[in-house]
Amino acid sequence: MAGRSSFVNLVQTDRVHRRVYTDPDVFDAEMARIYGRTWVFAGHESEVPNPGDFKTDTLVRRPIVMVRGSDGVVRVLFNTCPHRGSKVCYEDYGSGTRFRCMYHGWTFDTQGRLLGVPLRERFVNFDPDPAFGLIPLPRVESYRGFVFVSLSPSGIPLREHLGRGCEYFDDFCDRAPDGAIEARRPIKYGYQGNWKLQLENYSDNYHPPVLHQSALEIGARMLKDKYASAKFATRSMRTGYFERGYASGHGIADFGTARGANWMNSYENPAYLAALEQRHTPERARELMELDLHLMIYPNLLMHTRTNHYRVIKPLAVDQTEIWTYPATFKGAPKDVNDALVINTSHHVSAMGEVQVDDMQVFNWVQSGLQNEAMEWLMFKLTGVNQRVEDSGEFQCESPSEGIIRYQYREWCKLMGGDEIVRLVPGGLAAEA
Amino acid sequence: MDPSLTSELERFIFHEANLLDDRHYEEWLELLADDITYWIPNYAEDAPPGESGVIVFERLPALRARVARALDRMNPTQQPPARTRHFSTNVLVEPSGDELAVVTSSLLLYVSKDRRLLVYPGKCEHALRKVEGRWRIAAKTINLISNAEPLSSLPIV
Repeated sequence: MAGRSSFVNLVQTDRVHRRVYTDPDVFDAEMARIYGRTWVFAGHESEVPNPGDFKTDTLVRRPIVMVRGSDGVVRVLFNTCPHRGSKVCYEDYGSGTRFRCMYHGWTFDTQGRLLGVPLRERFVNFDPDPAFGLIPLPRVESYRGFVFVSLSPSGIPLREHLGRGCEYFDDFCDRAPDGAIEARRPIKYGYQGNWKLQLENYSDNYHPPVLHQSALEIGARMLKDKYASAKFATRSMRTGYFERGYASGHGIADFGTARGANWMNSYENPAYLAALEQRHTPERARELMELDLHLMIYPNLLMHTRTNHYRVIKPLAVDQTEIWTYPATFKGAPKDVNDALVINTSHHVSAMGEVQVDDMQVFNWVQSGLQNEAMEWLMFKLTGVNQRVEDSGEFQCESPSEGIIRYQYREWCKLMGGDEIVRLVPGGLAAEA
Repeated sequence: MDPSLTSELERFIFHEANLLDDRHYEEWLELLADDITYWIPNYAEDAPPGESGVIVFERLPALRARVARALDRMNPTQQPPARTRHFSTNVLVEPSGDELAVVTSSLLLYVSKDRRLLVYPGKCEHALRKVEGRWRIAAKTINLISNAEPLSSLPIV
């Protein structure tokens, strides 16, 4: 296994080494130092609306269960029996008053506490404290219903980690007339490539006019009502576009407004707008309806307002990844708006979708292409118009760039390299020029 | 039940499968009724599209665009296209008068793509209607048994 410094040496100011995508040792270290340390998105509270509701999931192979206790509190617990290690909760989603391990019959309440042990009187030296039961994750915090967990018992609070990204969570949720989104069942997709390929692709608005040319041109020609005036190439360059990289590796691409480019957008609905106007000024209501954002929360959450969903990146191996996409419906919006949103999200990202299939195909090609040792370094040199680094250390620019990817690697170095100073220059090339 | 009708509709299902496997997509479009609903549910069998999402839920204009994409050499997912074979079995025909029938069948779809051979078992339901003397597909629903699992890119099923 390579040492710490050798990992950060895989990233330079304007390029990243192919091993970052292909080396199983790097992957194992990422799972320990990134997914084992920072805040990781685990689920949305709307998936468990009532006491006793639960959903099971995995956090990089570790089975977990998110459950709303009888006290109304949402907890995230390791889904492993403290007796002999079996999972105790077996369905994707469900509801009940207790968990019962099907191996020996130990039972736990909806807060994870041990309820019953068959033949308990014959267990020797077994006198657990009242909190004994399913082990809670070390840290669980939420923002606007988005539940994050950390496997590390110490670290900065979630709000500080999200930083200015919180503003966009607010926008995302305020688009619902009742101020809250409701997550639907995930649409799942797998690809034969590294998890960071999706993270980087999401923050790259350089590729869409090329990679998605076929889908967009055919859509514009044959499905005019749906694709409206989807001119990705020009739209990205339009006034109002900007992207920003934040501390903690997050990034935002703000397309300004979806007006006139409401590709797959289902919101041009008077009843929806009227519902928003009950809570907001007419200007703000329209702004919320037309919001067109890509928000990327490092390392595993992608939020998208155009078809309104969020995606969760699930790394399985250095060359194997799953993407679970959750349509995010609007509480308080007309049913036809939410139904269209769910179906449009599906057609955006599903295995028979119109767009995401292109990205998945190219991830497979990149993973294959990187088997060539001769191509040692992948570059991220594309620099945006009017790029500047603000006093806060954030960068901003006004056209598609590879700046957010550079910010992802600042965070990668910080987490992978321990306390080493990150040498990556915010915004990229300035220091070397 | 009229055995010749069962046999006729069974042949229709096999013919449709061959058109898809042989990538005769334009001819496949001619089998579709103008008001067709083509539906592959997500997550659970017959899960409502607006509730649980879909793998696909389309009508004729979107299916025409889907065929155009499948035949477009600029489409990255068609470099090269997947090769497929549909195996349709357990065919049951439920006629409703002379001009309507529901045909259920079991499907084994094999997909060869990017050096992997994937298999997608499922249950198909075709609602067929006679239009100007020829059977047309008014609704096609495919419940894949793996629809709650992560899928790879699927061709037209």
